[in-house]
Amino acid sequence: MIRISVDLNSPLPAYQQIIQSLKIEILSGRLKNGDRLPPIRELAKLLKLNPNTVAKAYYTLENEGFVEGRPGSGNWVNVRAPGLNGLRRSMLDGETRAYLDRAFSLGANLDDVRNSVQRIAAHE
Amino acid sequence: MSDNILEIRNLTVRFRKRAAVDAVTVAFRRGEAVVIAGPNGAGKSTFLRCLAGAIVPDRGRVLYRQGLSRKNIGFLSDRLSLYEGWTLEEAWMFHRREFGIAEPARPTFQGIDLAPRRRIKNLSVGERTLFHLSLLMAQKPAVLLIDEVLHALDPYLRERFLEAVIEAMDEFQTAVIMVNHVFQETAQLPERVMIMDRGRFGLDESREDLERKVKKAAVAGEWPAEIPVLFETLSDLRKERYVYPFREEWAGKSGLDFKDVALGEIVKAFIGGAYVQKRAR
Repeated sequence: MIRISVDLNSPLPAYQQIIQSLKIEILSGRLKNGDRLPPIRELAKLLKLNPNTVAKAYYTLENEGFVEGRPGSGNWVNVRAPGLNGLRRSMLDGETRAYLDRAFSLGANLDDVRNSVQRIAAHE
Repeated sequence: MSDNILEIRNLTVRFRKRAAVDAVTVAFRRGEAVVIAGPNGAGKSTFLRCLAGAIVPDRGRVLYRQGLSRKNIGFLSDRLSLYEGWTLEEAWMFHRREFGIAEPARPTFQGIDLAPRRRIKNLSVGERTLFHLSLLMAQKPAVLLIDEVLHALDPYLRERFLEAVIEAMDEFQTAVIMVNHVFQETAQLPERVMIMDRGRFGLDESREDLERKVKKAAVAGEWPAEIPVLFETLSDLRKERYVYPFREEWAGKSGLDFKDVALGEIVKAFIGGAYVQKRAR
């Protein structure tokens, strides 16, 4: 059961949304080396996407070293990228940047943010 | 070699004195999905009917390439050109003969049941559209022309409809050309966006380029004269201007905060812009 979703109202292009979702699947361990990605046609039908869009996402992931395409048999997870840690760090930075933007827009400063993170982490 | 499947040259269709399609030259490629939007009465449906061969143009030509013929062009509009009294079985037999389709079994749809003995006049609007699409699919269409049928489908049938179109694109490399305004309906299918106004295409861009070239910014103080405004929102409560074509160099120095815009909003801005121009004339 793969959690891939595409938000029509997002200005982020659909193929990048697919890439993003699949990277999260890989980082979280829900997709592992040797797992098969959904066939292009099936994913396109599920998400109501142009098959070319799905193909483009898979092709990009292949170039970035996360996926291996085998002609005639589909696309498989095969992480050759040196370290998922780098990817994890850059995606976390992106999330933090977005969060900080929202926190600062509430009038909070960095100390408020730090306190809030610690307080909530301590309770969960 | 060119991948064009349809080439349109200098196409003009007149209704009395008015040109509904005005000297249009454009080409469509195999397997691409295109959406044509534009204000009402812009000539979109007339253009589509020309491609289907249902209207003979006053000037210009529609050239079929790569073995394309009337037999593998599917044209879908809200007018289903079949006899109301026919059963679905009879309509299928007629369609099969008309288009020389080899398969004997009537095509069906996953998820909906259209019994062969039902009559066309007894189908709901949505069922008619899906039945019609199933007939077109049996033609293994190289081109599908879809004239504003999506808005009449309920959400369930719309999903079945889109799935069938996606399947055709993947299996037959079908070029899909659809007239539609509401992008919630076409989902993410179109890769190319055309906007028609007064019989001409004022815009023809890949979706990706378009999303890069249109930005919006809130109006605050003096607006720099070199930044072209496509459309300005009508509310005084929130004054935003849509910019096209956008240049990256404006992002830093103009003091404006440019935001990305989703496709539906982009098209709304273009159509809104067309109405503003109309008022100004």
